[in-house]
Amino acid sequence: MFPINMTPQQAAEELLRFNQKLLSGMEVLNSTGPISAGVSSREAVYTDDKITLYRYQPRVEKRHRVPVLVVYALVNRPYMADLQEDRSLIRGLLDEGMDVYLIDWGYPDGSDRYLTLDDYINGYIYRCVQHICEAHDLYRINLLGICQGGTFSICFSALHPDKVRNLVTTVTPVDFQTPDNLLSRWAQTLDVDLLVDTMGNIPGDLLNFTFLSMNPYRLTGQKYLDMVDIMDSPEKLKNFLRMEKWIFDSPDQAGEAFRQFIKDFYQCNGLIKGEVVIGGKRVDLKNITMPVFNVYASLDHLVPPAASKVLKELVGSADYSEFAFKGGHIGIYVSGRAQQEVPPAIANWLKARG
Amino acid sequence: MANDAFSVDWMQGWADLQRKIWNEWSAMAGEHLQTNRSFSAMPGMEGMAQWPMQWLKQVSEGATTAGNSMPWTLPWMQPQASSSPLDEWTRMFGIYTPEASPEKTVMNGMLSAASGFMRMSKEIFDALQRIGESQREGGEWTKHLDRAIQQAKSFFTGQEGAQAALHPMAAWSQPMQMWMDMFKDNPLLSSNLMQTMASAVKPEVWNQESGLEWLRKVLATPGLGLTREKQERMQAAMNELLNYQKAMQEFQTLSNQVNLKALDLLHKRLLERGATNKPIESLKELYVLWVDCCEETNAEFVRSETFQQANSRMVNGMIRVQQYQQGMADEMMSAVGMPTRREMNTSHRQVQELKRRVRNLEDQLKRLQTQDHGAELRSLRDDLERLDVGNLRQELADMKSILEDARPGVTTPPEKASASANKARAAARDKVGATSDTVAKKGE
Repeated sequence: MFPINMTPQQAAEELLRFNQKLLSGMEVLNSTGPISAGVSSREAVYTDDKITLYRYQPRVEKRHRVPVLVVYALVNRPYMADLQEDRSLIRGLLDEGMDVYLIDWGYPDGSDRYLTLDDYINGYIYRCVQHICEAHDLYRINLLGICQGGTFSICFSALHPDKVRNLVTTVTPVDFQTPDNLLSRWAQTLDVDLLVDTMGNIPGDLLNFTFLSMNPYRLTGQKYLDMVDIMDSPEKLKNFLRMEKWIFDSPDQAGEAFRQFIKDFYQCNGLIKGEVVIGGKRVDLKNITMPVFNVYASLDHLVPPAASKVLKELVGSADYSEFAFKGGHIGIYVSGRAQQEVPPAIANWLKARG
Repeated sequence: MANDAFSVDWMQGWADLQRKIWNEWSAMAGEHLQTNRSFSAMPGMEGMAQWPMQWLKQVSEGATTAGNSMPWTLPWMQPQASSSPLDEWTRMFGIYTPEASPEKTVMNGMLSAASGFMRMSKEIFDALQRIGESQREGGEWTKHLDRAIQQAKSFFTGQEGAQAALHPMAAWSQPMQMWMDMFKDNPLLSSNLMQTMASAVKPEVWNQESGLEWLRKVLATPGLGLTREKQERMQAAMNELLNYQKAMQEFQTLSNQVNLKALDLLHKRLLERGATNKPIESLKELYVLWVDCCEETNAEFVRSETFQQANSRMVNGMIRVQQYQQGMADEMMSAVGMPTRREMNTSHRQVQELKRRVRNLEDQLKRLQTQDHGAELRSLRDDLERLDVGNLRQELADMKSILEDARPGVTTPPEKASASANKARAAARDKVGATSDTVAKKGE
């Protein structure tokens, strides 16, 4: 039979309806007002160059004794972990009685071009950990890394095992060359020396271009067409715009740190080979003897599960657990189901370990 | 076709619907003009509220004069008009949306997607027109479908192929535009320099292989004289520009192949839907099917070695060009006494190194200040206690006594020496020996 069951009249009517929705949607779009993101109350407790360490306001009276420091990736902004009231990993952890801190890396500019991974890991993260330890009169705290921030947390834990009580990694790449890792394939032929020597810091737009290139039709076309269907709902539209803001709010990457990350991690896959050297010290994953909780997303297209799960074989810890969330790289933080599953899983695991 | 009896009835209805849309848009635009003074005060914007109706008038007049039998063609369906009514509409709404806001990005994305959807709908619309009710029942429609697919594929082949990557039906339309925008004016000065260099070469040279070959030979000519080094750098820059242009063309050609394959897949899927009695029920459903086909084809492409090589040639090529641009910009900045990028880099590096040194020193100082000297004192006191100072004093007194006894000139008759005193002296000698051994061991 003819595969299109539509008369020209029906097609015309559909186009009319579409345009009417577009028209009224424009009205809603232009009256949405400012888009806010990052909803939980917090206080800046420490600053260091462009970074800020925030402490979130506790939401329950009885809190867990050991605070947890969230280390986000350098790519995009950390408010994705606290996007909106009903979609917030941070809020979920606070509700579970965790005392939550977060490092906001800020927006690097030309003066940050020579920041290295040593500066980030042995410098900023170390000093933030130290600050929290002193504030709570503790010698060790809990670390929770997100994506690239998870990789940083792993490196930190291997270099300073005495400072980490428990390590939680979420959608964290460890093996950077699994066959299904598309970003890794692209990174292999990138002349990163040329790129950094020429551009200094790497523009956030260049990274966005890379991410869009993975699904260009859906991410630059269909997504916006689908949006027309929700434009009559100001609330849904705001949620869409909030996510859109997060996607394109991409700080530039400090050049030297980017160079080292691409070369040592993506191109040489040095983390699993024990060949990464940061601040003159080799990152030996066997030094990670504290309990480890590895959370990954089974439908992650940016950090495939295999890239994360290999951590189990590499750490020196006798207390290693995994948690698989059925969703994608972003959905693990912002989907409705994630709110029910991920924060409680992390909090319960931490509580069980004191 | 337009003379198909089937089409005549709804043609009038379609025109009415269209007028309804324009009327609504016109009313809304007028309302915005009245409520938004800054917008209405902008030069050239005064008559914007009326443009939809003006456009309708123009179209109907144009249709009459050109003998167009389809006066109801939607305005945004005009083939790639540089300033179509939809573009004007987009611009109008874009003006009062705050710059760099998510709304702005979203609106651009949405209008771009809507525009693509409309253009695609036009193709479907035309195809439905061609395939009358009667033809749908037999197998005749497959020929029309073949033709429609071939027509869509023509965007990506032949003379138009080079520009096809920017076509709404191309996978890479927006990412490619982003890519070009990203490097277009960055950095400001050097971009113009490269454009000047490129424009110095006649277009026919750029566009022909023999011309490019000739250009490469010219660029290989060694420089001479005072500006020899500068000539050499310019030649190298032009060579990199040629390499980049070639890489871009190769990438676009590959992207076009993806689009062609996606259309083949769409063709196949439509035939399958026909065979399984699961027809498409709406334009949106068809659009989504097309997107699925594109993504499926694209996923295979971006995982291929071919893509990786082509992509890296394009990206690396662009950056090499930019590297030369920066060198030239630095020369210009230096000539006018402005700080160059190279100088800034040196300063930034030195500042960063100094910051590290300062932090290391601060850490050392902090460690020294907070060090626990009490523990060290306690340790020393323990050592002293272990030495048993009280006993040492007694032993010293005994030794003195022995020495006094042995002093020349002082004789004590052996018979007078008590047996108990001799015993004490012997014990004192033993103790002194043992204490010396202990001290020596500690010294080790």
